[in-house]
Amino acid sequence: MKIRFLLIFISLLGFQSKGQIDPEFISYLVISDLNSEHHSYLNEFEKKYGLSDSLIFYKTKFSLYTNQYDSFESLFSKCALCLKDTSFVNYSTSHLIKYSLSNTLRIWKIDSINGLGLARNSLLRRSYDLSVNPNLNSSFLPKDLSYHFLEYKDAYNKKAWVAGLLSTVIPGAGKLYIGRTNSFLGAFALNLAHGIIAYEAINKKGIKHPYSIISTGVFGVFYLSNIFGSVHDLKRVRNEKRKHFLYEVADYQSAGLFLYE
Amino acid sequence: MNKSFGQVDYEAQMLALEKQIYYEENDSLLSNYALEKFNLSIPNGDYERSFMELKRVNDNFIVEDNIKKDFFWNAALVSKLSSNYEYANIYYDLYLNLTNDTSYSSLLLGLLIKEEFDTVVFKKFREELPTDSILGCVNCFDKVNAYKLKRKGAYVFTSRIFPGLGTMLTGDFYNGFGSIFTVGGSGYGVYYLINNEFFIGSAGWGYLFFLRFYKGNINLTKDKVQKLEKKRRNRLAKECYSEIEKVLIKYPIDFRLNQ
Repeated sequence: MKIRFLLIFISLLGFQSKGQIDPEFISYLVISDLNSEHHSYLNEFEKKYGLSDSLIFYKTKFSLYTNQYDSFESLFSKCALCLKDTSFVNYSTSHLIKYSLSNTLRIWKIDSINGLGLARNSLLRRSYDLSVNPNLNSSFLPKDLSYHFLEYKDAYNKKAWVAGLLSTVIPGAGKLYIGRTNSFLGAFALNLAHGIIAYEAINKKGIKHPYSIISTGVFGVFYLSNIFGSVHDLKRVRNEKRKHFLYEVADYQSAGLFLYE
Repeated sequence: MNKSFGQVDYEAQMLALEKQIYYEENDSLLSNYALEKFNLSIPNGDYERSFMELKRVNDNFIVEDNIKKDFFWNAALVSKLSSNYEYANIYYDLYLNLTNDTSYSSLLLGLLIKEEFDTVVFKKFREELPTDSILGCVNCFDKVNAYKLKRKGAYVFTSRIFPGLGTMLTGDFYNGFGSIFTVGGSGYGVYYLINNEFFIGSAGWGYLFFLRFYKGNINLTKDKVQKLEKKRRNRLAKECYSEIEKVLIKYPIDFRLNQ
């Protein structure tokens, strides 16, 4: 009787081991860059044994690995194992943020609603909050990242109206204010040249002469462009620095983490 | 990923072979499985994937000459179709060394592969070909490779003397007329300013507009000349390929998957 039970137990074990995904084989497929086989392998499992938690986990990983972000998002919301794995959540958000911030925000939302909120205190999430309001406490940032944050904070705290006003007073000065020294020299020289040309025209022929009107008009276009350009540039610099800061944090957070061991 | 039944079956076979490769420790059997995968992938038409499988096959483990011969042939063709010309050349030479095949199909494949290389390799191969009428059409490759637009400098020189004319001569009337208008207009403007003693204005407009338009007109002509040369070479190549196509219909180059 005991032997019979033992045999049943062994056969059940055998059945279960057949129904388990072989992580080493998956790693081999990843290393060999055999994505079609990888996809078939996961599908084969689904057909044979149905959709288990571990299979969803591997499918989620696969969709992230092959950059199928929409499918990743939908699988992630159903993936119980993913939501319990801090490393995976951190790795995936670090990866995803470089593709789309809105996708990353949705992953964080799924993590907080369906999961355990593992990402809530992650470095990337806190850095994101900090990027929304740079005047929050940033002491949690490692030294390596503080520099990038301060660069962003510096751009964030600059006022668009100040850049515009400076460019109105001295053409190009707004660019100098936002840290674009080379652009300042170009803008200043161009406006100065057009200003002198317009002055010469008005001085010699009066404001009503067609050449004076054209020269003044051209000068006006360059002058206004310089003001709006400074304001627009500040927004661009802010976005660039923010992106750069978040990318640096993402790299920092994902250092030493791997999607497949 | 929506796949037909045939495709699903194919993917299942590829996976089954990959599993065998994964668990196999014998190098010879491993290479055989890789060869099986390579052959299986060919009818599917995804030559990038076939090329990847091809690189896993170790031809030293292929014992039978017939199989080896077909492998080299298929490998040369897959490499050519996936634009890996260096590999195509290597596999074609291996095929030729093994078989000394001088059939028209074989020579045609050789020509199509070698024509991707510099003219020395191509000429050397062509010199060894039988000089008969069927392969005579391949001379057109020489014409394509050697084609250069005549009097290129003349177009640019014309644009220097008469802005926009060189561009017009390349066949681009629209941009040529634009150059005449902008360079001529700004030139006249500078002339007018000098005449009216607007010296600062003439220097400023001359530097900011006239010089830039003038230089732009020359660069535009240079660019159009390059494009014209490319266009004419492409036309020649097209004619050449249609000639080759006629020969290919008569002597088709097919994969050899009988073994």
